[in-house]
Amino acid sequence: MTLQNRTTRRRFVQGATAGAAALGASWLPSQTERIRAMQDTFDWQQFKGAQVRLILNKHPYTESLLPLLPEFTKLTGIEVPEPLILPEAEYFQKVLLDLSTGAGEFDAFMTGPQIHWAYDSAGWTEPLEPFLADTNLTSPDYDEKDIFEGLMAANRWNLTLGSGIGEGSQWAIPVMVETYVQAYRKDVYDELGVEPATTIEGWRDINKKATKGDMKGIIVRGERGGGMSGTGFVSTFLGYGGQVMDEGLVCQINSPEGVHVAEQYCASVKESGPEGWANVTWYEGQESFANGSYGQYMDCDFFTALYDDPEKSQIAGKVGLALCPHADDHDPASGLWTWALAMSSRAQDKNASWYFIQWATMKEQMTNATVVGRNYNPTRSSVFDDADVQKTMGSWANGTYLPTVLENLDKYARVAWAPQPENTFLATRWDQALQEIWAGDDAQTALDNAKADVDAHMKELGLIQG
Amino acid sequence: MQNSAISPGTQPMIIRESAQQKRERRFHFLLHVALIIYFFITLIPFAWTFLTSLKSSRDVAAAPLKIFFSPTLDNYRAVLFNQYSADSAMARVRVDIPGAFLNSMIIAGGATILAMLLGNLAAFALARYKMPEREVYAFFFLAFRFAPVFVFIIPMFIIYQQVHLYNTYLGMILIFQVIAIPLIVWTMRSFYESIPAELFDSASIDGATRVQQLRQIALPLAAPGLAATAVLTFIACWNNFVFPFLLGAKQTQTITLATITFIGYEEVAWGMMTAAAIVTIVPELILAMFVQKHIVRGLTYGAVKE
Repeated sequence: MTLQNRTTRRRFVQGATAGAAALGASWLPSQTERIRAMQDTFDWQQFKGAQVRLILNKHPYTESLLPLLPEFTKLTGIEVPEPLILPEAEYFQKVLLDLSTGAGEFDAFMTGPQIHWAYDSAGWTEPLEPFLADTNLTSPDYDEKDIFEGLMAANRWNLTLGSGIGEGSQWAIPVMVETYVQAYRKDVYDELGVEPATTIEGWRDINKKATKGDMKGIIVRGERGGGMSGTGFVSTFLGYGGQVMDEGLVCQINSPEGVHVAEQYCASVKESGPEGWANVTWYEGQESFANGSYGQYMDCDFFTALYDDPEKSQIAGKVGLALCPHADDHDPASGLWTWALAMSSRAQDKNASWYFIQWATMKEQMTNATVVGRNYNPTRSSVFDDADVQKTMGSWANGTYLPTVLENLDKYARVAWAPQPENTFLATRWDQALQEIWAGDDAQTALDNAKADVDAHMKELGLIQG
Repeated sequence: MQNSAISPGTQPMIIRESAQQKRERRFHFLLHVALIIYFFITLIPFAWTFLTSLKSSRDVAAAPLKIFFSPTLDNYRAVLFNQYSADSAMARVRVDIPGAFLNSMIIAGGATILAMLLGNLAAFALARYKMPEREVYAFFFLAFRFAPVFVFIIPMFIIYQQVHLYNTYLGMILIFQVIAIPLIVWTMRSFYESIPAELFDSASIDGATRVQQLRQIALPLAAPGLAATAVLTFIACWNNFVFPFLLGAKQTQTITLATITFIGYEEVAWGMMTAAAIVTIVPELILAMFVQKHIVRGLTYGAVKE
């Protein structure tokens, strides 16, 4: 749709009426049938009359779920008052306030591994494996194995500081995942006759080649504390065999791999990136790449939905995706983040809360979330197999989206951070070191200083000895 | 020329005056130019916000910056009437801006009215009546402004949960007294102090009670101050973010909170957010325009004491 023929009021009303009629014709009967089918195989009504109170992050998954809440109530008889929905920064503060004060205002909420580790160790979240294992509480149709094992594992933890991810209790069920990739201008790279780089040196070289005229070769996040080191950079760092912390929680960001990657990465941003890099946020990177100012943005995979949207992007149809750079003798890697549903240990009715989490993470709801709500990326492999999903996502990034993301999910994506409560401090200090290197400081010195600060901080808090 | 027939000293003096006048004229001209430039600089953020609210998503993100574009009211339709035309995840954002606007009116309006009632009584008493430790009481009110919000907000959150004031209009109106009453007490106190004491003494001799003195003498004379203080209090309450965020939820969501919900996980809806921001400042602008005269007068009224 062009700007000239965007919706007029009359067209909007006509469209909305037609849409409502289509929904009424197609959705409602299938909803009733679906509820009947679900009730045939499992007693969804055993907690009828209970109530589940939700707080949710502003997210496409949330938006897709809201219209389905009446269906949940119809299926289970469990009431769900209108959830509180907030943007990420405010959302986390509100959840922390509720959990830490024991107010018990919310029964279920969205979270993710790096966040809920602190909640888990404080006893604020409810382990979910007893519910998953109980056939009286979990429908035979749930199919837990359909959820990518790596993502379930990312939300399991045995409460050991520094290790134990993938072991112990299941603290949350993943509903969305992001991995990190090189999103590049395929048309520009084709013209240059280059393929996306597999090594950091090659990456630097291509970024330099793509810098000409009004275009610069690369944009990445540069704002300290804004996920700067946590997306493309940490993925490349892992791809060179780097380890953020060892099991004793000693910082390892100044390892030879860490210094090498930081040196090349910052040098490339300096010579081929934005001038005011230290202020570049995730959305500035996304918007600047989408308006055609840069040859590459190494960040979240699902930003491709915007890049390939001609309504919002000037580079629709011109994008390709590739895995992040890695050492020749090492597999590629990607950090990951999953949004997941968790239960408060102060939930007023834990069984009813589990019913909600279970229902909200079933195939039907997850498929709907992706097809209707644009929840990218889904966490169930069956959703990726869905014909509508294939049709939509299959064409993204000139057909490179699904193969790249699935390769990450199947083989390379993992939580980059050690389970400990001071990851925000560590990441922000690492960001600072990268900014110093970009500004001209020696990489080894900057990272040595950052490591010393992180270790001192961890010692001060009694998290490491010595 | 210096030795001409004109009496000595006259001509040079005229020349000096003329040069001084020229310098003054030049100075005033430059001052005005500087002020006009400054005026336009201060307008840039508002103009930018307004123009962005009229842009489509693609125009918002365009590079180079688009000064000329096809304006659209889509963002206002989305914000005010929940009518979305673009097919995107952000388009399905259902931020209830009208509802949040109403909540803000109830909460900021209610808090201002209550604080004006209570604060004026306190300000009048502190201004007119001798009492032991008067300055300590006055300082006590001000002390609420010293304390960072986060010092008392967590205990307030727990208390509110226990006494069921959490996420209620009454709870919101009460917590706003923490910022409103000190503002009113300290502003209105100086207005009441600037009214000649003889007026109250005469009224007292005529048998007027203290409440009558306040109602019939102090309030009418301090009307400009009242208007200015009420507007400033309303704006302080209207713009507050922390209290409704931490002590409220969906049912009491104010417009400052609702506006930030246009920051999504996958993109920022700048167009809608700026449209909501424009909607947000409309009541403050209208209010300020209506009472502008009183604000200017009121802000200087208490400055000169008897």
